[in-house]
Amino acid sequence: METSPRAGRSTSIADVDGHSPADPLWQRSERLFAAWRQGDADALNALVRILSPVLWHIVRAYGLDRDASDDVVQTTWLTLVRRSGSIRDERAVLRWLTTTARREAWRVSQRSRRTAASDDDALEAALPAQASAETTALLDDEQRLLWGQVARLSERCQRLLRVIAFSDRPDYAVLAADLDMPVGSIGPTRARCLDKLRALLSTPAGGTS
Amino acid sequence: MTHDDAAMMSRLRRLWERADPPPEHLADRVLFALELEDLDTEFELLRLTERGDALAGARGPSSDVTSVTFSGPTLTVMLTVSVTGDRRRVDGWIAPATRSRVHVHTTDGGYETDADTNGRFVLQDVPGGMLSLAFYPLPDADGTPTPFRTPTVEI
Repeated sequence: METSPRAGRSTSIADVDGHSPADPLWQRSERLFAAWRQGDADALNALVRILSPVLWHIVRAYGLDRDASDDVVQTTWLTLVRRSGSIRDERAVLRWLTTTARREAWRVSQRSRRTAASDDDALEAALPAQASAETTALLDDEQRLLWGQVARLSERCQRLLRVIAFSDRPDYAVLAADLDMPVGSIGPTRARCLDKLRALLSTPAGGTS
Repeated sequence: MTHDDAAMMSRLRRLWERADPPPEHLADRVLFALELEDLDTEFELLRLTERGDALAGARGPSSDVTSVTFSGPTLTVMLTVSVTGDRRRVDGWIAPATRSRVHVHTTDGGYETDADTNGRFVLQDVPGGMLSLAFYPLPDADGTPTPFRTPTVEI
């Protein structure tokens, strides 16, 4: 296989399930998508199983509740099957999916804020996803501390970090539009959010966000 | 990205994977929804907008009644689901009323039924678990709306 200009990354951020950086997620997605387009139905099955968890985390970053997030993930796949012919570059399928999921999540989150602004559900939907007591019980001490400090970051920081953590080279232009910030400020904003998080972690008891 | 930033991003990713994992059968629901997909038809995709206890607290666990509402730009579909063991009776209502052919997709397989002139339809006896519905409006005097479908839900 020829070397893609996008293949030379030093970190394995894109490899959500810890797969070897030698075979990053976007490459496995490309192979499965190509196989499906050539008539291998099982390849779509595998693609759905590998990527639905990734899409889930990206959608949840937009503050949708679990039912609405489930819905958006389904809609994203239905859209892929419908529009697969319009994806010319098979290498781009992962990016296409994550972008479609973010756009749909953004649309749904805006609508629920608009149509039911006084509703408790809408209020809940507008807040970053919070973990329940049972959920925090699943975390080890270090993660519980991290979780507590992440919750003190701004909503925008939480969303930006979660989307980037689960996206394979996110489309910064689309991300910028969704988050209402200039394209050039995404990288620096991510760095500032991480600095803020590190500062909170070094003084867990004090300060306000 | 600096090494420190990359390491922190990895920690955050593991945190979210642990703290807010996808629902257990998410991929199954996606594949189930894809089984009902009909590429020859341009559907309006409804969204699950509400689900809850239709009669909260009023019934015991042997005969629970829950409701599920799907909405689109022009239509709403409400389901009232009565639970008896592992079987379900579903009373459906399309608003505004739209006489339609209803394609029912359950874990038992698929069948078709009709929604009447009041937009009402009944699934007498379907298995608990995944359900998705597609609606093909029948020709009417005031034109035929586009077909519409629900995502997969657990009932």
